[in-house]
Amino acid sequence: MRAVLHLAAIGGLLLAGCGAPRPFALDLGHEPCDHCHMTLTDTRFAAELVTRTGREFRFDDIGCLAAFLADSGWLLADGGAAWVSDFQHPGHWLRSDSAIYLRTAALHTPMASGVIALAGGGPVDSLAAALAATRLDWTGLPATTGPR
Amino acid sequence: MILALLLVLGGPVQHQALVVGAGAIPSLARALELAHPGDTILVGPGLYHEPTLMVDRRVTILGHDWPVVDGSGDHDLFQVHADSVEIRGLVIQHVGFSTIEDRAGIKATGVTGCRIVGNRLVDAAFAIYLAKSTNCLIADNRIDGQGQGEALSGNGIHLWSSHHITVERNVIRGQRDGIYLEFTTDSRLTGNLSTGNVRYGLHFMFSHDCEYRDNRFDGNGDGVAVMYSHGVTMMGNQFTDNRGSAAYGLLLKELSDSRVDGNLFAGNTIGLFLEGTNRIEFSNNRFDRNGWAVILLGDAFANQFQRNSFTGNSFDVATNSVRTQSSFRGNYWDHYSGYDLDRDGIGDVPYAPVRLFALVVQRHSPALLLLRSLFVDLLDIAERVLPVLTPAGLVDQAPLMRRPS
Repeated sequence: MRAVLHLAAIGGLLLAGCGAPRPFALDLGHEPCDHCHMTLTDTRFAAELVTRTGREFRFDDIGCLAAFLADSGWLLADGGAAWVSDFQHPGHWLRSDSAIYLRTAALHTPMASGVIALAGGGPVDSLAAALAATRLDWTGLPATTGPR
Repeated sequence: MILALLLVLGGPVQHQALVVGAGAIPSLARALELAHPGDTILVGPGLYHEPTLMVDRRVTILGHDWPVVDGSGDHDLFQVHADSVEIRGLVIQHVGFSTIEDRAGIKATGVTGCRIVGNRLVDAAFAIYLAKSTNCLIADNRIDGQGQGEALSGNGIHLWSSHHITVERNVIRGQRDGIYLEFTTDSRLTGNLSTGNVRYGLHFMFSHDCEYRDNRFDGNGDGVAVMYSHGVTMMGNQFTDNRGSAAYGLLLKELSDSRVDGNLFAGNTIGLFLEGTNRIEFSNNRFDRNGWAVILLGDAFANQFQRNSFTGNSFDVATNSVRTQSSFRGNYWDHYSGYDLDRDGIGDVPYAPVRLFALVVQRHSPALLLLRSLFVDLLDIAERVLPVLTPAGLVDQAPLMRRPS
């Protein structure tokens, strides 16, 4: 019986390892961004990517995810997935292709892209007005390679 | 004492001195309303709970016997909007972090000639914050942030879109970045100690033509990051004990035409990390007891290393590319086992500081487990005899026999 339980537990772990990519929690203050190497300290502007095989990449600025995808966009076509932090609920992850993006000079993001992500349905318009922000598409995000 | 000062200050000049404290003006907010340009506000000892203090006229604010100005956690304390304001001798505390705005103990916006000297800032999200300001002095302040465990904190000294700022002899700990420069140019940072900060001791973003000299960066998440900038001079600094799985003494990314001279890199996981750095002169630096002294990524080119000394590092130089474009000449390497028959102080055979194993570890970091194994020693010896994989360009043709003094 115990052996069966063990087998079931191991099988469960294997299945968990094989499922669709899922977002993961960031270890703030310790892990570097996989594009710019800066240590992540602030979830508000963060993004992450998990490949089909489960490899994790983290980014301190949504612009760093965009820059990373400029070279490695095939990881998404290959079955990977990317998420961006909900600016209004930092640490709550939104699918990168369904989030709403705003760009503003009023917020200082780690790599100065000025991009934040929001869930639909919230007070997007009022926040955009308060931050004098422009709306962006997922496909039109600025990559952080230099200043604006 | 205050009265004596008052007499001295009140004597020869026309400007008046206002006294804040017991039996005088009860709050700094009130004194700032009463003050005329050129006045001095003397703050006596005591605890002052203050709202946001708008400093909109040229005044000098002097604390006597460490008065405590407390922000109760939910707003900026000093907002300076006038030129030539001086703030000295205050304890400024309790400015809470906000996700929407950058709150600071002292925030100066669009001013010139401010002097923030000899204050103590305790538990402030951002301590001293300059935006679009010029020709200011930030000196001899002591900044104690919310501590290592607090990821959501701001920077100790934050300079944004400013120029000609002097930052001297401050002690900063427990912030996100100790000192942070963004879009800031022509500024000098000297003799500061930045320690125990969550991210960087000092951090440059898009900040050109600055100089930092004789500072110490000890035990931060990472020592210093200089990114997306050009024309930065770094001399006589100490980058020490920045440890962690990927902790750098000095991280240079997308930096060009700069100088790194006479610094000490000791006890870091990675002493110096270069990516996308061009035309940088590294001379007279000491790399001692680091995991990796230098990691040079293949897209760094035309960097020159001269008269540096490498001692007690696990790896002297590592790279991820066999086609790397930087030169090493006339450095001292304690791993060098060559000879000097003509006794000119220069080794007669070249030294290749990149171990094959370092190349392997760059590509597969778990291989580090094998560091002290016989297999790895054999690998390195074989590569030294018959180099096939290590970069041909990364060879010191004139290794020094003795450590340069």
